[in-house]
Amino acid sequence: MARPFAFLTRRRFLRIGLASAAVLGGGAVGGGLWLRGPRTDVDGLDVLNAAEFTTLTNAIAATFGPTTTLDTSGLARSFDAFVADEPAANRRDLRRALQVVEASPVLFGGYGTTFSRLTASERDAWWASWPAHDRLLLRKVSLAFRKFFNLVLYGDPASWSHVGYLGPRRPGDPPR
Amino acid sequence: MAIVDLSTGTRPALRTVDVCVIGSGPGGATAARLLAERGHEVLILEEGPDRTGAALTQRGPEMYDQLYMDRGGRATDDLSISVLQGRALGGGGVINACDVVPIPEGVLHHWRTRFGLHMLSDAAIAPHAAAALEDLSANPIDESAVNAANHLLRAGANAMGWRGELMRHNRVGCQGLGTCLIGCPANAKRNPRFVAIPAAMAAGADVWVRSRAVRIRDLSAEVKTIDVRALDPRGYHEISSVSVRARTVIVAANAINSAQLLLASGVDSPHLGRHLTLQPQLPVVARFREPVHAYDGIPQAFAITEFEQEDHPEHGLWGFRIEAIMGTPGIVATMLPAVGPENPALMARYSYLAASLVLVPDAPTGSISLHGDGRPRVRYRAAEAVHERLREGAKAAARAYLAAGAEEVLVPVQPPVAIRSEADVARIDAIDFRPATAPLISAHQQGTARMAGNADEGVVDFDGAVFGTRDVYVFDSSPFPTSSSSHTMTPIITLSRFLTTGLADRLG
Repeated sequence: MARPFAFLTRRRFLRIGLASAAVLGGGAVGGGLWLRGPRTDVDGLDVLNAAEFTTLTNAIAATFGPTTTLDTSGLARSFDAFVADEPAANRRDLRRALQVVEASPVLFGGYGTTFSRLTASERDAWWASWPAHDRLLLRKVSLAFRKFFNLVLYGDPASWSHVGYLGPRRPGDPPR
Repeated sequence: MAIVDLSTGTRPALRTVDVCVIGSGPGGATAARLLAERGHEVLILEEGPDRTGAALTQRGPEMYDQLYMDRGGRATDDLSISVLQGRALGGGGVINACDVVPIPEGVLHHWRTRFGLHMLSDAAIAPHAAAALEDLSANPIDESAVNAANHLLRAGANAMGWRGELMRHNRVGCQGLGTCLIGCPANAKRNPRFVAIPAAMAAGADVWVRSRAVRIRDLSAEVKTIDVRALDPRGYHEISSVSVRARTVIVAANAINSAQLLLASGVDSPHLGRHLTLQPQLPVVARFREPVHAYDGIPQAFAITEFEQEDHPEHGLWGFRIEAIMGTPGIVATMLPAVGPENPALMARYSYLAASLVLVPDAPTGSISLHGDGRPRVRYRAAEAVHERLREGAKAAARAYLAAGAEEVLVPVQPPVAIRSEADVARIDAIDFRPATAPLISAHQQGTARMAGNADEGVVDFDGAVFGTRDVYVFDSSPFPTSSSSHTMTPIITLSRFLTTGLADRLG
């Protein structure tokens, strides 16, 4: 099975950076918890914890903007379900990727707070900077998440009316 | 003979056969068929599922998950190139765009003169090339089947005075459903699943699906043992072990997985895993004023061949080629660069889009190695010569689409480049292709078990036998010393027929 976020495991500096930011956030344990972002209660998750789910939800929102025509509400749970089928190493990598996203404004962006605590406009701008960012790490994390988000969202028939897709013709259907 | 799914039901602990073929794509299926027809007891191992007809649901997320390696997520280690590799009974033939492009004369000449593959004379190859075309039911794409998107690319090429062609394909009974890249539920593709595999089974071959070969033991012994893992019904996890013993082993699992298997088996060659070509492709997307509905009909029919070179003195196949393409909304969205409100805004124009892929043959500079957990690591750093041709190809595609009347052409890199007139085309020169900034794909992986006259220069000999082993062969695109063609299905069948015929003659 692929490990799209395996590069994070090999990034020793990332572990050091996350630990440093935790200290800066006010003590190793407390800082570590702060670095994980705010937590809202979420039931029925297979793999992600509530804080990770919040980070993921915010990344999804930043990817598609405040759309009123697309329903992105199920995307985070789809991702959780996807990861549940992945080997343990992949799940660990994913959690690390979400830590990177949550801690990234502090680690790399010069912000004083984490991803989910930014204002919506700050978060959107920060996330939008990742695809062309000078830092390869951020480009890779962004690319991996956006691929999943786009494939699943626009692969959902509920999105097809938004894009003007009539859906695939099945065998025997008349030509359009 | 039946297709046995190792994910369900009773699994044998041990199976002994004359020939074990690992991989059921064009190379493996061809080899299995020819050897079964010669009376050998053949077992085909395929780690993917068997999906035909209604089981090909045309739903992108599900089909990429089930029909592509690594659930559709295989990529180079820097995520610069998505590596599209089939994982299903029939291999890449199940998910390819059906293009039939034989090995060009110039490539064969290059292989003979530059790499010493003198046995690949025109006379020696010709009957196998003809047989490959027959296996594929190769036929020209009828003008009536050319959809609007392909018409537009052709119109642009004609306006520019560029050479192009409607390609040959291996469809019979095509209904223009447009979901070729995620399987054809009309079963119209004459791919190995519907040709070589049924023929092999009719001749007595057995097929196991959801069966992953992880190691070949006793490589120098008369009888080899293949460690096989049964996979769960979704193909995510290994659930049990089976052993297969065979006198002859044919590895045909794709240039990446074949190298992975041979490395895991302890084949000791300085060339194993090296010389990988990925033939990267860059999408270019055009938006028109009127709906194009590029998702209906054959997605890839027309190619601009003006800039393609088949006889480059150093590289053989070189230059670039531009081919129309389209996918379902999900996969198209993954290629587009928009983040934020621009994302749904751009996708709302999906019906107005036409797209092409700029295909660039590359020098064999990539490599496969193993991670600590045994998974393949695909390392590839495109040379500037590749980037240059990607830029030239993008400019040509942009010019063709503008000539065809496009409102805007988008090169979906990061940051994206939008072209609305000839004056904008020069912006493409600034694309630097930094890692993970362009939606490059690879649909044709080749190399990694180079064919040569001796073990110092390659992994397999001129019969396809792995140096230092006894009767272990590689009959897929792994032995190719350079890129063979813009589309590898036909070359793989051709070379597999050539090599398997030689093997069958020696086996008697």
